[in-house]
Amino acid sequence: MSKQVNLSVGIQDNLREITVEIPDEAPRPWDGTDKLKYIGGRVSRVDGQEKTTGRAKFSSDIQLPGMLYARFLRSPQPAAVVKSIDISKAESAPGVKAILLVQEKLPMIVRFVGQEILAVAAETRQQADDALKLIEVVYRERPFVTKTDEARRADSPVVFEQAVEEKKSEGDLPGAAATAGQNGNVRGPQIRPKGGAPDKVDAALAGSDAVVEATYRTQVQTHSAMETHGVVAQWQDLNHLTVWASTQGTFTVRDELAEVFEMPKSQIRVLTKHMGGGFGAKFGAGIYGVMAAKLARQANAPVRLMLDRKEEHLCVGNRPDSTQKLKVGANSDGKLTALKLLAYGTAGVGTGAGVSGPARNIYEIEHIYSEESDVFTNAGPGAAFRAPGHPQGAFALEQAIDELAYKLKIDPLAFRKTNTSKNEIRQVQYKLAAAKANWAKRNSRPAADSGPIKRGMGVANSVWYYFYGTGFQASIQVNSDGSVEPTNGVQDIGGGITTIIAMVVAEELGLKPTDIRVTIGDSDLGFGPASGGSQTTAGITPAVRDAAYRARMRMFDIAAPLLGVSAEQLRADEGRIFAKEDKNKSLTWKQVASKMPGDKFTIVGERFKDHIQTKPRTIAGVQVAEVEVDTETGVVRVERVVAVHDCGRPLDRLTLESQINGGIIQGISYALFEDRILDRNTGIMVNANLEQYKIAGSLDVPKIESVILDVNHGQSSTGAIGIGEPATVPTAAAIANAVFHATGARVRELPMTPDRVLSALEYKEGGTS
Amino acid sequence: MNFEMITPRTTGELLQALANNQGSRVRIGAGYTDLILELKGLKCEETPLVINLADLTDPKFTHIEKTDAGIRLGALVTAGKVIIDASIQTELPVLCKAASELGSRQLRHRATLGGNLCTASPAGDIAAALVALEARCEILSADGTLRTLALTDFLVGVRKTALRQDEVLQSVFIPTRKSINKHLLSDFLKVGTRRSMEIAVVSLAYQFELDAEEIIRHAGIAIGSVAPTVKFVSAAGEFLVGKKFSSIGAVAADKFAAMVCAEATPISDIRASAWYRREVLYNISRGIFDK
Repeated sequence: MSKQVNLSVGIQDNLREITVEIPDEAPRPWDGTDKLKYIGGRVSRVDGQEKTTGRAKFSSDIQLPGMLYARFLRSPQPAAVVKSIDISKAESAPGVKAILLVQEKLPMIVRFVGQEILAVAAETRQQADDALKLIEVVYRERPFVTKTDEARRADSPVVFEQAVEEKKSEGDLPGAAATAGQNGNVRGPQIRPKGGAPDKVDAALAGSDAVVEATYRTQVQTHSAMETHGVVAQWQDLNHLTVWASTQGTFTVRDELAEVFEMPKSQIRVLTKHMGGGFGAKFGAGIYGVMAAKLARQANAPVRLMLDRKEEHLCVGNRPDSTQKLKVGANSDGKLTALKLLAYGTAGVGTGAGVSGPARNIYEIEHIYSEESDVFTNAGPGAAFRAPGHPQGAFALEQAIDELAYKLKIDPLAFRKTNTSKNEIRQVQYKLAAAKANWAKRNSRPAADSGPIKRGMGVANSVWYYFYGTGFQASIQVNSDGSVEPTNGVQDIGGGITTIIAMVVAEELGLKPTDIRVTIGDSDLGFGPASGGSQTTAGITPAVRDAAYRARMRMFDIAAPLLGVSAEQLRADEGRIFAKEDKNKSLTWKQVASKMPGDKFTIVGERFKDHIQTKPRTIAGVQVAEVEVDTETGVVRVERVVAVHDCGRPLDRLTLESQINGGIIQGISYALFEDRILDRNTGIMVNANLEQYKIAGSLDVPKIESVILDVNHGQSSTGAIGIGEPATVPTAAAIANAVFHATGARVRELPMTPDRVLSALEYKEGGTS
Repeated sequence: MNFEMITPRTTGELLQALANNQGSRVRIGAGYTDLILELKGLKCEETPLVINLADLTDPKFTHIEKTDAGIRLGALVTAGKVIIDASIQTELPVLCKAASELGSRQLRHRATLGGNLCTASPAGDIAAALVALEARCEILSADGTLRTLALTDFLVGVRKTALRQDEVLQSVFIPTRKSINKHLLSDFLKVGTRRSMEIAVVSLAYQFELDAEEIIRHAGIAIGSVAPTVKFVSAAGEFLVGKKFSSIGAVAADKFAAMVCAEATPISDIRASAWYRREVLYNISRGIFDK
């Protein structure tokens, strides 16, 4: 059964009426006319105090009686065959309880420095580390390659002899796993024409009034979440396994373990009460999770296996590098004509180095042609990383667009406006960004400052996509003492979903967010989303609201006879249930709860497909960066970033701003500092720590001003859309454009280190540019 | 990470520990901002032994002492203490600035002056300032004797000092230069990428003494991260002596910068290229006179 509701939807206050068909049991979606108490406001994290006082227990804090510590023996060779392994001395070393090989039968092929060979569990971590030193492994070394360009050559050592099947995770983009050919180390190309074969695109470019052609390079970035990957695994009995995991997906970890151990899913429980960050590399159980569970079974004791910082850099994921040859054309009327992108990159022994998302999804271009390849190298596997492919793609695209604008003597922001004319959200965003950043006062001439310190302002667009899953089940239990307990298996990776759930329930029930006791992070609870693709909030909140709505209806049914009115006449607010027409007819929430039959009731809400399809399906954002470049040292300081983003209907502006801040800070870090460096002679990462692998510190964080649009689509009961990934997409590009505006020099390679910036300045002064 | 530790509480106990424990496994620990990392990375057969100075209370090691002859800083004085010391702020501003650029606030509360010198990193921040100030090292031996050595002779190579196995750095001494109406001009310029937790890619420490007529009477200059050790740049300093600071023009500034760079022998590593280091050293040296 369904009903029709009228909704006011649109951007900010620019609303229009639509009619939407929704299930009978569902609440009317929040729309642009709803004046809500908490939703859309600024609510502090409900678990903030727990975290700041150190009481919050992360997976890495879990201590169990009799728990063993496990450590990996990892390959020191970038490419080799393991001929033999002698563990006899280690087996009898003090405290050692179990040793297990990752691959039981030898020979075993290793393809990167850090690849797991075996794991040891011992009573202390020191004992495990000491035991590893007693293990003798005989390697037959093989030729290897670590540089992407060298790996592409026909005479390069081959990383894989056989074709590689792409492994997919929740963080990957749909379509990323499409099959592609493999030749030597090159897998691909994946060809995605949009509006024309290559010859058509070439012809359009040739006929354009202005063309920009350049090659852009981006580096490998490691995820470097504060909490490393890892688990504590405990067998309750032979058939029941409990795992505390630092994960972005309690259910995805459970499912992988169920598959590996051939167990029913219901016999595996994955817990993630608090989580120290994840950017796309923490979805599966991982070798560490599987080995920890195996060791725990073997030793008949709980096993903790948390990776250290070095392992984190080497083995569990990174943002692939990229080389992008990009050609973009436009006519003197300011309209883009055609775009051609030839790109490749290495995800080490992994796949997924594609970067064409921004090139294909931001601008209105008639002819687009893209070719992308993965290049295998002897390095740790890449993994989905906060907007996979997009910061890379935006770095190239948004600089090319900028260059083209200067070439045509059109303001870079106006040029973007012209070429995204059909996207109403972008049009509003440009206006807001320009006002906030004071774009009008910006000198249109690059390198206008005199003196060694030069200031500049640059703009770049973001793009991401609206993803959400279905089938999630949120429960709400209302107890006869009036307490309300929503539960779901979803994990809070720091985005703040715990707080959001409390807000949604409080809003619906007329209570306060602090009244709501949220329990999440447990795969024994209702099915919840993995936190990838920026879909946690969009995925779970409609189910939460639907459950809360029906819990309210149930409470109204209990209250109605007590107040002598019909349930339809009741409202809930400020902890009371009362008659709309006669506020004297009123009971507290607790009084009503005390009258429920039995002790409690539970209602399950489910995430169904959206009521309507949102348009556009991309998520828009734009950032303006202001920089200061010291032309004597090449040091770039980001002074200010203005960020205007769309995320559908904003639920909690405070946690949203945190997400945007985080995305921008990570973007600055990517733009200026982070770089995984492998020694090409040994295949060893030379900066596998946080001393030499540099991440932006608090003093490098600029003034960040974010503007979050209110966009109501009416697509679901909460209207939420993601933000976690979009916020990091354009930052590096905006900084690069600001560096150009400050100095007149284009830095087409990341990170923009002082060395590279000074070289770019020199190159420019040499007049060869 | 596995190591043994001896913690002497008096200088007598320290000397005994030095006499009894020598060899490649012995390390001396004070603030541990560097040593912990070293111990973590060690791959040696023997278990390292750390002689821990953290509990030493002898003021010779822990105090900043100002006399007519000069300023003496104990090896255990932390960067944090250097920054807030009034006599250092007024008389050795270059040291104050260098200490404030070291690591992060947390590290500055732990990191000691002695540690920064004994680590003998070519990028040492405090080391660069003390070299510019022509500091002398006061070295205590296991037999109780004290010898002094110019800091430039103390720093002999990358992570190498002139300390013998039975010796420990007790303090550094910066003699007061007798001059009238002196006015100091100093800075510590640290070029790196991040604003904190950064190791200098290039550094320049200088402290000039000017008389009432703005004539440079003395110029102490040191450069970091551009040679195997922090280097004292004497020729460039002498070039400035006798010149009026404000009248040093472009030509003299260029000549000065070239003289500073002549002392540099930079290498390329993961942090920067030799070309970059030389270029930047030139620019920042020249930049002293832009003010």
